[in-house]
Amino acid sequence: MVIDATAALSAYLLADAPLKALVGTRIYTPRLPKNYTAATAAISFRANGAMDPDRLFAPGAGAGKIAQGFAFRCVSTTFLSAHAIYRALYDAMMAIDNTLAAGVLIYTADEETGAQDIVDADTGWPVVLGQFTVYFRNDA
Amino acid sequence: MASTIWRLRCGGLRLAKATKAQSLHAASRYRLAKSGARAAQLASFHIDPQALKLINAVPKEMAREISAEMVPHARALVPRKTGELAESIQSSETPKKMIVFADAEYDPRESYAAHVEFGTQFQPPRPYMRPALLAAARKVVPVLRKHYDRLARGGSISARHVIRMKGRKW
Repeated sequence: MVIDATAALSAYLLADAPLKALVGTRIYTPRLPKNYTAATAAISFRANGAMDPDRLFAPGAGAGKIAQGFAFRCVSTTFLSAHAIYRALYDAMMAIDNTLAAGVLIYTADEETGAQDIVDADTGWPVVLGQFTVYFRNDA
Repeated sequence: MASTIWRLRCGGLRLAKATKAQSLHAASRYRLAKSGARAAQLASFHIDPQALKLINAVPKEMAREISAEMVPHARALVPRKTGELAESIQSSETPKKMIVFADAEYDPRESYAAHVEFGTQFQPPRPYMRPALLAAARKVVPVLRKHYDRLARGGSISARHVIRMKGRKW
């Protein structure tokens, strides 16, 4: 059966101590709760597809491995604090190295884009966007 | 170094700075190709200089082909109200990279192109750039890979072999 990549990543991030110090357990997927207010920092992320470059360049390579893209939104009251969350998130993602989370082996993660600032059109909250591709072992 | 990136801008303000084509890793592929070539030299492989030249040209041509393929894909995917956002999707080439960008100016204060792609608190994302990039890469890369494999076969090492010598963690 195909692994639940989102649940595995969520479990991994919730267990990361520096990230927990900044956002607590407020790591949501695929979006923030409707009644959420930016007074407390939070992260939301959603899976948005990916392509394993190994399979693209060398068909047959990387068997048993899946690549999954995730778009992150780091929300806080100011861009400075939102960037602090992004940095903690970046560190957590870069620390992934054959890490086991929720019974799933996560091989590694690549940053797809640097932090991108955006003001949410609905709420005016400062949001820092990030995009990572994460590689999982599919049959673990 | 060559890579395909995409940008979303509105009102002259660059909102999404430069989203690299992660799925391709065009830039890192170039570096890997070079390090792979070095590894092959250390292992006493003979590399035809012409083959190496062709291999080094792969990322740029790949980025160019993908950009050309990506624009119509993105225009087909983008939600249409007036069509202005779709029309604003274009590609441009710089010496080092290809850029695909959307730049509709509905309201200078709002980053409309980025909000459509990434969503807002209450509006779900309707991505059009990233799926277009993935679709274009799926179509273009295998064709180019075969093409360069064939060209590089004159040497004793193929483009594919060099690209595969990259020593990832798994």
